[in-house]
Amino acid sequence: MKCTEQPPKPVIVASLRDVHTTAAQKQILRGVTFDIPEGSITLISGPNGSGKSTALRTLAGLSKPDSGHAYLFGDSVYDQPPKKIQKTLRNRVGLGFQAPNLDGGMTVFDNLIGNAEAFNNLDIRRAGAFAVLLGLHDKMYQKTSQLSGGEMLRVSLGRLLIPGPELILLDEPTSMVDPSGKEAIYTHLRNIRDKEGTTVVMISHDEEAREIADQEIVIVSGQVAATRSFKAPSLPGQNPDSLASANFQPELN
Amino acid sequence: MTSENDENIHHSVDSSLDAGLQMVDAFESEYNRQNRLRGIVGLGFVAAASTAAVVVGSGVLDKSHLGYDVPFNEGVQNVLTHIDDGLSVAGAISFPLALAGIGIVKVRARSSQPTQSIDRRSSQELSDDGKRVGTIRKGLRATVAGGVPIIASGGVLLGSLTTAIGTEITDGPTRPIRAFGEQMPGNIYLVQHEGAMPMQDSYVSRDLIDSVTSIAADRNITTRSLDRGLGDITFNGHTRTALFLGLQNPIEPIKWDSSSCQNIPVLVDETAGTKVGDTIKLNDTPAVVAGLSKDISAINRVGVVIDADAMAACHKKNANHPYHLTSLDTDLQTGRDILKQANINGEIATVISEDRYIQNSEKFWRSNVKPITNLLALVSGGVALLSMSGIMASRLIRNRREWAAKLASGESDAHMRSTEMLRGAKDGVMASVVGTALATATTPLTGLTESGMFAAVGYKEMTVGWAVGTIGSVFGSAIRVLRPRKVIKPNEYTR
Repeated sequence: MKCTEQPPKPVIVASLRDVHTTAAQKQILRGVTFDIPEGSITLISGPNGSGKSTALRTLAGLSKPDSGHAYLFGDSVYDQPPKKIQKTLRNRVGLGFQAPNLDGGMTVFDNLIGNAEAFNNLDIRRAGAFAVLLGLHDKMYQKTSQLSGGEMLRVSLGRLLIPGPELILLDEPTSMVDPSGKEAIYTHLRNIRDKEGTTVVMISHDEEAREIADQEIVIVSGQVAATRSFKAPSLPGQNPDSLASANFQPELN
Repeated sequence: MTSENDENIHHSVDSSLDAGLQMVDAFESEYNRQNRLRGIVGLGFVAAASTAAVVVGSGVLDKSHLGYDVPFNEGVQNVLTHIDDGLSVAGAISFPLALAGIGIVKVRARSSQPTQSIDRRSSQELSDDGKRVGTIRKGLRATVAGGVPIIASGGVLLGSLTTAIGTEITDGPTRPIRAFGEQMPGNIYLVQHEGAMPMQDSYVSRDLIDSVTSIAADRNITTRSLDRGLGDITFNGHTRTALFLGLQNPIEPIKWDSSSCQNIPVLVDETAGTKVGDTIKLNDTPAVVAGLSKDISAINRVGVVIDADAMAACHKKNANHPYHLTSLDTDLQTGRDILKQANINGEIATVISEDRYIQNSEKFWRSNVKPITNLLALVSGGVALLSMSGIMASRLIRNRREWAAKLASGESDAHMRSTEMLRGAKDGVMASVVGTALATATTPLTGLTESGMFAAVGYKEMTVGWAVGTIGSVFGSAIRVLRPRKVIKPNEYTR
C-alpha cells in the first residue's frame, strides 16, 4: 500500500472574517477577510485611510467590528470575556504602535523588562540578550525620553519581544526612523521569525518590509484589494484548510 | 454620445461646485455664529464688570456677610468634638498599614514578577516629568515614591497643626490649674458648684472657708485657698491680658505685708519676658516682679501669682472678697463631711475632685474650640483627598498613552489599579512623614501669635496627620482608578 505524504497543514494564528466597521458614520472596513499563517511575516499595505490600522486593531481586540469576526489562536476575539482575550494578548501577542508609547520617565532597563515583568514571564537573561541585540546595552540607565526616535523604536520592539510572543502585530513600526534604522528593524524581525518562529503582521509603506514579507495583504477603501505571495509556505489562498481561503481574491488589481 | 458625456461631465462639475459652495457657506455661517456669540458673552462680561464696580464702589458690601442662618445642632457638634479622636485612631491604623502594605509588596516582589512590576512602576512617573534624577530622588524611588506629594503634605501639615491648636486651646487653660495645683495641698476642692473651673465664677465666702479650715485642722488636714481673677498686666508700655492667681498665705518672696497697694510682690510667668525687679502694673496697680514662674500662663493670659489678700484688698477693693476655691488634703468623702459640718448657714458650696475641676475646664473649651479645629482638620483631610484625587486624575491623563499601550497589550485593569493604588499609598506615607515633620517644626511658631500659647505636635496630632495623609491619598487615588478604562481608552490613545 502506497502512502502519499501530505505537506503539513499551516496553522492559522489570526484571521479576520467578513469584518465591517464604521467610525464617525464612515465605513472603514467593508467585509475584510484574511488569514495569518503561523510563522509567516505578513505585510499589510495600502493607501492612507484605507483601513489597515483598523484591521490590525480589530485583530488586537482594540476595535470591535459592527459585524464579522476576528480570531486569535482559534478564539473569537470579541465573543469571549474581555479577561480571556487580555490573557491571550498578554501571553501570546506582542503589540506595537506607530508611536513607541514608552514610559518616558523610566529608564531603558525598566522599559525593556516592563511588559514581561507585568506578564509574569520575564527571563532576565533573554532581556539582556535583546538589549545587546538591539544595541541598547550602553543606554540601560538613560530615561527613554532622552533617546532618539530610532532608539525609542528599538526599546519598544525589545519590550514587546522580550516576553516571547508567538504573534507580533506592528502598526507602521518604522515611521519614525531613518533608512538605516529601518533596515535594522526589519533584519531583527526576520531573525526573530527565523529563530523563534514568531508570526509577524505589520503595516508598512516600506519597500524593505516587502523584502522580508511572505505575504502582502493590500487594503484599499476598506476592502482586501489583493494578496501577494512572495514565498509559498502557507499562503491562505493556496491552503485549502485556511479559514479565509474561500473569501480570498488572490489576483492583483 | 459624446455630447451626452459632455453633459454628464458638466453636470457632475456643477454638482461638485454647488456642494463646495454650500460647504463654504456653512463654514462662513458657523464662523459668523461664533463671532456673534462671542460678542454677546463679551457684553455680558462688561455688564458684570460694571455691576461689580458699582456695588464695590457703593460700599454696600463693606459690612455685609453673605451667609445664612443655620440652627445649632448638638449632634453635629458632638460628632465634630470627638472626630479628632476617630482620626487619631484611623491614622494610628492606616499609617502602619500603608507602611506594611508597601513593605509586603516589596518583599513579595522578590518572588513575583507582576508584583515587582507594580512596585517598580508605582515608584516613579511613567511619563518624563522633566526633572533630573538626583541622589535623593533615586533614593525615594528605591524606597517609597518618586517624589514628594506637596499638596497632600500640606494637607497633613494643616491637619496636624489645627489639631495641635485645638488641643492647646482645649488643654492650655488647664496648665495653670495643674501648676497651681502643685502649690495646693491635696487634690479635692471646695467650690461654689459642681461646674466650677477657671472660666466660671465660683465664690466661697471667707466665713465658710474659715469654718472648713478650722474643722480640717482639728482632723490634721491642711487646707489652702485660692482666688482667681482676670485683668491686665502692663510692662514696658505694653498691656496684655492676665490671669491672676491669688494664693492664700503665700511664702516669700510674694508674701504681702498689707501696708499698701504699691509695689505688690508677684510671680510672673516667664513667657511675659519680665525680669526679677521689674516694675509692672496689674490693673493699674503698681507691682514688682519678685520671681518668675513657669506654666501658669494660659492662651493670651499671662499668669501672675499674687498674695490673695493683696488681690482682695487692692484689686477687688474688698478685704473679705470670697475665694474661688479651697484645696483640702483629704479624700472626697471626708471633704464632703467637713463641708457638711462647717456649712451651718446653708451656703451653696460643694466639694469636687481636682480632676473634675480640670474636666470642667476641658469640657468648656472642647465644646467651644474642638468642633471648629476638628472641622479644619477634616477639611485638611478633604483637601488631601481631593488633591491626591486631582493629582491622580492629571497623572492618568498625563500617562494615558503609556497606560493605554499596556492595557492594549493585555495588562489587566487590576494590575493597573494595584499599581496606582500602591502609588497612592506611597504618596500617602511620604506626605504623612513630610507633613508631620513640617507640622512638628512649625506648630510651636504659633506661640509667636499668642502669649501663653504652647501648641505642639504630639501623638494625637501626628496620628491625625497620618490619617489625613494615608487615607486621603489612598482613597483619592482609588476613586480615580476604580474603572481605569473610563479614563484610559486603549484604542483611542494608542493611535
